[in-house]
Amino acid sequence: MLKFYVGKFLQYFLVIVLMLTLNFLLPRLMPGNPLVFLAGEDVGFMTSEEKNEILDKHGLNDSIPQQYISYIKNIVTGDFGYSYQQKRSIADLLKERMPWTLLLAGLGLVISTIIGVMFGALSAWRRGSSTDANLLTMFMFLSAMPSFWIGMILVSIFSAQLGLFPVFGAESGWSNLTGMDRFFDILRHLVLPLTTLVLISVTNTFMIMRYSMLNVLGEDYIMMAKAKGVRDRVIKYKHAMRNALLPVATVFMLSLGFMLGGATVIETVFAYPGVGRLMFESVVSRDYPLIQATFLIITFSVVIANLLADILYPFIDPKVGGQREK
Amino acid sequence: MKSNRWGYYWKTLSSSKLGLFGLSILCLFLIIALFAPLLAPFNPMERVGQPFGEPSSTFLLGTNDVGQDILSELIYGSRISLMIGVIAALISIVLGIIVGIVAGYYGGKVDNFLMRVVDLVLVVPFLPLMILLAAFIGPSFWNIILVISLISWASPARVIRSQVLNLKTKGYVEAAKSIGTKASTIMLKHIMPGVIPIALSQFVMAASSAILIEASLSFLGLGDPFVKSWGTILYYAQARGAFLTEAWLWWVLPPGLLITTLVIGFAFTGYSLEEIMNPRLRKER
Amino acid sequence: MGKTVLSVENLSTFYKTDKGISRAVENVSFTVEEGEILGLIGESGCGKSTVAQSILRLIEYPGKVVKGKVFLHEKELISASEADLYDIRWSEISVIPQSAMNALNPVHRIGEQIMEAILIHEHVSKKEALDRTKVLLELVGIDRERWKSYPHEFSGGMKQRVAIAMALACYPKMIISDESTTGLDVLTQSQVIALLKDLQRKMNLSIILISHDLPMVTSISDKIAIMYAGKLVEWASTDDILHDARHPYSRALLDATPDLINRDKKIVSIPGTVPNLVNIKSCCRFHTRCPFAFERCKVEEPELKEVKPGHFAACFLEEENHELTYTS
Repeated sequence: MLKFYVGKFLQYFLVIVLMLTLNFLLPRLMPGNPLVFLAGEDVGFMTSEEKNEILDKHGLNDSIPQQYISYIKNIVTGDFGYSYQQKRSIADLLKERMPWTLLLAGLGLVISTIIGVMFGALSAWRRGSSTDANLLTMFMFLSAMPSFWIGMILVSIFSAQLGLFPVFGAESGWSNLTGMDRFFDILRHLVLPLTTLVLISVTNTFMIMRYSMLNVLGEDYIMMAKAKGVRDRVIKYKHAMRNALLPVATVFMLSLGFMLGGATVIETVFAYPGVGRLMFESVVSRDYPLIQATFLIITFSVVIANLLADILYPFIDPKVGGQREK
Repeated sequence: MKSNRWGYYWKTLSSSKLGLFGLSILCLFLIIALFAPLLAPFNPMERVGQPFGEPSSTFLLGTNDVGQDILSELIYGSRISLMIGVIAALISIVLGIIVGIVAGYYGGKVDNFLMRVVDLVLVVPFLPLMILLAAFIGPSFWNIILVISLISWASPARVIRSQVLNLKTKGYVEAAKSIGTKASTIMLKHIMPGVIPIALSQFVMAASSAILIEASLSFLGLGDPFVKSWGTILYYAQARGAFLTEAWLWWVLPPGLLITTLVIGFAFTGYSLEEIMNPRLRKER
Repeated sequence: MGKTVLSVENLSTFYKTDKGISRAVENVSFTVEEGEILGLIGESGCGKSTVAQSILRLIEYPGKVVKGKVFLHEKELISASEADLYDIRWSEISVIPQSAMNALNPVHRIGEQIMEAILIHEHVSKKEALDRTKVLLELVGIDRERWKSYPHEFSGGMKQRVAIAMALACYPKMIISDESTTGLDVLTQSQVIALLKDLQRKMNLSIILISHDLPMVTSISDKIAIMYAGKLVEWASTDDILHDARHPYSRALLDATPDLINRDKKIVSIPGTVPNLVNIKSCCRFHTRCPFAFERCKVEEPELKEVKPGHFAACFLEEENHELTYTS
């Protein structure tokens, strides 16, 4: 068991090292002026003094290994560099934007899992029925829709046409709301992006839950429970769901990667001030250091989520938990 | 014997409503893409009307911000979306087949190493990574394809590997091994044919996800501005605020519906192929 | 002895498949008396387990019990309401399942699973149920404190014992053991069988012992019923089956079984394969492999008939012979 954890840990460590290295190499290997990649396209307007300062800061005059070491050192100490376009330290920008993304992706993860699990279990329970067929078709269509397009349609209908929800942002910036008012304001801004995120991610959970539940329902112990005279409801929730949830639990945390990726696109549609939107802004303005930093922070979050999933899993599966005790 | 097997696949596929539905959608789009110059009323690159024109008898779906005909853009866009999806899927499947066969056939350390790489690729959040790469190498038709296929080979590789492990235990592979057939010959002549059916269904699935990814990348402004895909059209619709006006009906709704239909076409075909290739799944239904 | 506990009459269970209706079990009839062990024998896929599941009404779509009656004491189960069934299951008839490895829910403690059965059917406190669970575990030779363990912490034989304890939870009159020793090593298997026999004697249980292992079944059964391709072909006392089998399939089965005592016995395998049961026409289902088959066997289905008191067989040979004796 310990070996398993060491292996996993090494794997995640490797992911991070590889991604850091990729990030280090990209601006240095791409054809063109590395200055552009390190400081954004504004370098054209810089004086040679400013350019030299940047070259010095990134140690571009040093040897590559030296540059690499100082690059890693900076990242480890939380220094993600400076956005010459936003004229701010990138770490500050990330700190400001991260909570919004975590709010959106976290809530999205929880809600889509609950909905997916419920419908997946229902579908499997009524396998072969028209309910099952309809749910399957509906969820398959949902997963075929581009996420940003769902968002745009929702905005068109509910914000632009019906005026029910705000069009963009995470809160009404200039109103200086406080307390509960602010809470509800944030909630109103959250509804559409959250709905979109749930709609695009729920199919995954639904499919896994349905498949897993179908497998479980075919198991002998379900027939045994029935033979014991256990009522259907109890079989469904106590015997079947509990087992069928195990595979869902393994993908729960892993979906966070998908969520954060999805958030990138959805935040863009709703101009939601999260890390994803920040990535889009930096792509549009070709602010390369910022693109890299947002990518890194998303990757870090995903790796941490993966690690958490591995650590928590034994607590829900007695089979694995037991082996760990031994 | 071989043609029999394919005949059987075809029979099963055509007897599945889902599969037929999916295939017909794909054929329809193929026809639209092939005959785009005949079908489109205008050259999509030309400014033929007023900017932001509403639908009329000349411009059935109105015009965009620079006065190009949206319907023609959509018809030509099917070429781009279809091509990027299919080529990217093809490259990732070929990569997936190579990695899957090599890992499955050699096993041991080679397998271990390759599967670790697969795990690594699967852990990294793919969309942000693609955005990063696309931003650095610049937006172009081939770069988008490159970026998508660089990341999408991992999960087919895993599926194909497990099929290879399965095939490896089959008598004819063991027999070929025992008479000293070269490894490359065994892989090409004996394992490859067994892998193709599964690879086919994986390819169709990969195509459907590649189309969605392409749309997302294009929507983020990373698409080739000179060959507009449906995603690019939506990028401009978003950038010009079309979704906040009446124009959402003719500028935002249609491209998304087309993407959805095409993806559904691939997905349905893929599901029914998977069912045929994987009898275990079929039994469970 | 003598009181009938379970009586199965003309039971038929069919499955819907892509290619048509599979007649998995057709017109099966037999009875089990108090304190009797009935061995139900047949090759895998002959419908033994389907019979067991049909008796408890556990057949699920695409399968269906299409005909027949099952009387447990006086109660008819096939037409019983779901609510009645919930009460009858386990309190009066329980199952030791095909493979105990899969029959225990992996995420629940084994004690909880035994208690669950008790708590559903009897108005007892949790503590009483737990106490009884511990007693039951001891009865099958498992340490009483191991009720806290999860299924994966037991060996195959131990799980089988847990499954037996679970089957006994509500002191039922009737137990169906469905291939419950298959997959265990020979030593464990004989221990489990001995335990079952011992419990049967102590508690005056009636048992249907489903298996494909003829020597094992003959060693403890009072009566034996033999199934082939969804039909009951012969049903008689163990002695009669061993020494006076009437159906060619029963004889072939005996010939195909090695004998430890008579080692010179020649083992004869049965040529041919089991027929496909999908849309099967009216015929004796064994005729394709039967050395004695004649025209009638290909077009007509033989009924199960009493060939001598308490000995039933479904074969036209018997009938033709009888007719011969009557006419001459």
